[in-house]
Amino acid sequence: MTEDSHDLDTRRAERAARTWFAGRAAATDFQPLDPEALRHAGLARRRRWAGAGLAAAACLVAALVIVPLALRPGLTSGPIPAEPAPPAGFEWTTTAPSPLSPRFGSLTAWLDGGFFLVGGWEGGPCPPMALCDMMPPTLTDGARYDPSADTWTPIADAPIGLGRDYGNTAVVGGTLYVLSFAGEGSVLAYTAADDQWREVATPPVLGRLVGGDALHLVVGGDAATGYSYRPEADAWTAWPDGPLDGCTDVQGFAAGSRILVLAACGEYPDPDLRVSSYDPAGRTWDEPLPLGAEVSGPALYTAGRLVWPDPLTPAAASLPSEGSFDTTTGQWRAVDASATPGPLAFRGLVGSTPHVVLDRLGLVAANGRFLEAGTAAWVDVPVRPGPERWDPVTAAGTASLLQCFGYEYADDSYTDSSPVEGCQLLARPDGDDQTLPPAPPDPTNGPTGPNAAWQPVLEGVDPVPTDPLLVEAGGRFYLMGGHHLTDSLDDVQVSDVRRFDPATGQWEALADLPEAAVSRPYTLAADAVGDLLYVHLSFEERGELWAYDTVADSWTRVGPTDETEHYLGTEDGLVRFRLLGEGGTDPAPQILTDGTWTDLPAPPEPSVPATRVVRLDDHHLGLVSGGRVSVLDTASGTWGEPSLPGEVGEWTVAGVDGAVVFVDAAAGEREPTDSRGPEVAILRDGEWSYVMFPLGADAAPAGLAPLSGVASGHRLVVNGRLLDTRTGEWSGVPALPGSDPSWQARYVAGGEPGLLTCYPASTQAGETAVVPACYFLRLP
Amino acid sequence: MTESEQRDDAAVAGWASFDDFVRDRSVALQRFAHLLTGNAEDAADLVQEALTALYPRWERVSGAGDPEPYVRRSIVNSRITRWRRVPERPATDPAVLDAAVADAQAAVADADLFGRLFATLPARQRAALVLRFYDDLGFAEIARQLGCAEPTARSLVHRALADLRTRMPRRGHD
Repeated sequence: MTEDSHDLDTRRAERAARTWFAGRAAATDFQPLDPEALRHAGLARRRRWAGAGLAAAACLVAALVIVPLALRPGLTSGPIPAEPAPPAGFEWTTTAPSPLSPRFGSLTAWLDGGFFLVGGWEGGPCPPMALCDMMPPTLTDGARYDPSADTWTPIADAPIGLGRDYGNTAVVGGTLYVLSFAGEGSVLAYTAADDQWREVATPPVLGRLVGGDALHLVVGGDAATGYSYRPEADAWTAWPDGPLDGCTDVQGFAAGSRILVLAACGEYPDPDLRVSSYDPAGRTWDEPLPLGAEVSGPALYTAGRLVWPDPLTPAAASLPSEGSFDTTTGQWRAVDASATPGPLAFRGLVGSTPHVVLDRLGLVAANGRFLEAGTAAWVDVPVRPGPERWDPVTAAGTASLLQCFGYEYADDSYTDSSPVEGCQLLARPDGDDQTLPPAPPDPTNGPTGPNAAWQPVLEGVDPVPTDPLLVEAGGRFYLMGGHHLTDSLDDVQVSDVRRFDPATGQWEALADLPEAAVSRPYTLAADAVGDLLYVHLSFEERGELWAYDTVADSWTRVGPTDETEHYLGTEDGLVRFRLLGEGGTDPAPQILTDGTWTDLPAPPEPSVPATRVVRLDDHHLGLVSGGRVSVLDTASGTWGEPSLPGEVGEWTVAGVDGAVVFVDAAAGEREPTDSRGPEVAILRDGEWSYVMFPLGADAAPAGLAPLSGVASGHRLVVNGRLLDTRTGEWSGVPALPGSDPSWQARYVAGGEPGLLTCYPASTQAGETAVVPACYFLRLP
Repeated sequence: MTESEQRDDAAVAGWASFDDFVRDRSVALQRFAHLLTGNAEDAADLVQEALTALYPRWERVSGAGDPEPYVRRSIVNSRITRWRRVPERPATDPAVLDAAVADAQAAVADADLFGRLFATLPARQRAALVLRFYDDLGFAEIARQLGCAEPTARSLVHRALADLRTRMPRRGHD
């Protein structure tokens, strides 16, 4: 059989490929890479992505099991860096002499710009892992340290002895609350303004205090999950029934105006850890987020994340260590728990005792150093000058750490049976200002905190229209038109036009839809050009174009349209394309400015007919032909060269932040374990990049899935998640209020302020229920 | 045992740790990246970048199966991202190529030509060609490595060959 030239050429190309590859491969000699260096680099790179301002370095060494008595740096037998990793700008300074006698186990707090130390025990030492403080604390005196002035001020004695494990503290405004477990329990309040202690009402059960805008108590078990203190009545009020009732190991954290509650629910030995946010003002609970992991010990909370310090030590290497948990997205960020304990370990900060959170820096203390909760990167600290001391009194400020007293320790034994004098402050010399990461965002705003939620902004709409137009223009959202069936089954046009302003949270009624010379109900589409919103009203193949003046609240007819026309607006005018698909070539577009249509040049000849047009930014449109895009500059009326083709099929296309984004809408429906290629292709400035759907991501929350194509600023909604098209990073979107997996957000519009969705629907057992409401999600 | 057989055996056995995976596969991955980029330093950088990104996700990725496809896709994708910083080599004028290879031995000349044309192909086509004609993988395995459907893998290879065929100078066939 004679091969044709096509086959011969193919074999020739294949042979050339093999020869060339073999030659190239033989010409190089690669060595295996260093795994340890890659691990270091992985954590360092994550800090750069997070935009952390701290110039910290990961200080990772091979994992070793460390015996508690050998916790001093330098005693480990594994490889350690020859030079300590550079500290993140932290320095130790010795404070002015403290008026307090050396002690251990004091309660500590940060209040009114200063560190408060109160109570504790005399004597000791209390060796590592020992339970010395089993007797009630005996000391009642305390003092305040002002780090800005380096001054100590004694405070009034507490009415009873106070100490760790015999109570816990919370700060609300200028008041320090102490829940003491001594005796039958009591709650004391200290106000810095008048230096006074007083006793307040004791809650019905003892638990853990949480301070935020007000004082709360979390309990768990058979009692209510929590209580809130009402100072005007000096009484405690139980929280309403919530999703964590009956759960145990309850921990609570102040998160803006809300309380983040973590609890273990379900049967031992496999409890199911969940976190939910409680709003004391509204007395409402959010749907709980499952952690999907077993983690042990107390948790710490900062920067919207939960961290469990106890597993993050070599001694606890057998415990699971998922890392830090994002309470908004429900995603884990892995933390390397194999590091040798850092310099703070010898001072009792190996595990979670005492709990130390530097909230303004988003740092928690773990394994003798700090962990940045947001990036899961380790932050080293310098070794404190002077002799080693075990178990000093430790107080955490918002960005600094105070340590006092402790027991001198050398050669695996105590050199003195009494705590030593003196306090040291660990802080940044320039304070916590410009060079540090910004303070964690207020979780009451935006989707990054536990309070991120769709807010109802319009309720009780009656009748609820079908197929209204929802569009964003100039930072405000327009809801217009649609139709509904009357009782007599007439399909009636809804002519209402409303506008929602996210800045004020208010709706405004505008002039009704115009009477177009087409049948009703209209199908609507719109695009903005400056203060004009061009609205296309159509019925089947007939249509009219109208211009709505958003300032004058008036409608002006532009002219009739036909079904091949596509309209898109930029700041330069409204551009009309005729896309004939397979039927022929595309004529040149036209642009409408000041009421006059002007011809624009024809686009470059594509190999396949153009099928879609998208708006890229205020002055550019993209014409999509297969996998190639030609960009029209509407200001100059010129076309760029068609791009190289992207690896895209018949994917959804959107213009976002100057880029053309192709989305394989089917991607999010695959199982997370399927090996799959990039699902989002981004063409920006002529260059293609690809982003994979999050590997192992859970199904997107109800409501926005499988929606793709709605954008807010530089973010695009893809399968219920937000993709930052500049960085390729994904973030979660909360579920619609009260939604179940069958909810669908049918009408969604996006703009710089956020996303607005109206009239979500749910279909179950053949019945469709529509919510007569609109919801707004503010995005940062 | 071929390299692909070695890899298959290891994948079935499961990688005990990230470190084991790096020690066992980083040379092969560098070679793969080198064939894509044509530059040994770039290759090492790309593999380091891909493995650096893999490390925090190691448990999840390795738990879901062989992590190598994930790394190869990262290499291919990061290669694409790098294009934004490093200008692509311009496509060579076929007329210049004709003149350049005119007096070279046919197979070597073709290989040399292939190398220059290869540099102008999109990244995923290059990756598919490397997997097909260097690693000698079947289309099902290529699809698994690149994370696409098998027809897509075939299409990538065939499109690339078709592109090369049209740009190779015509000559008498054996």
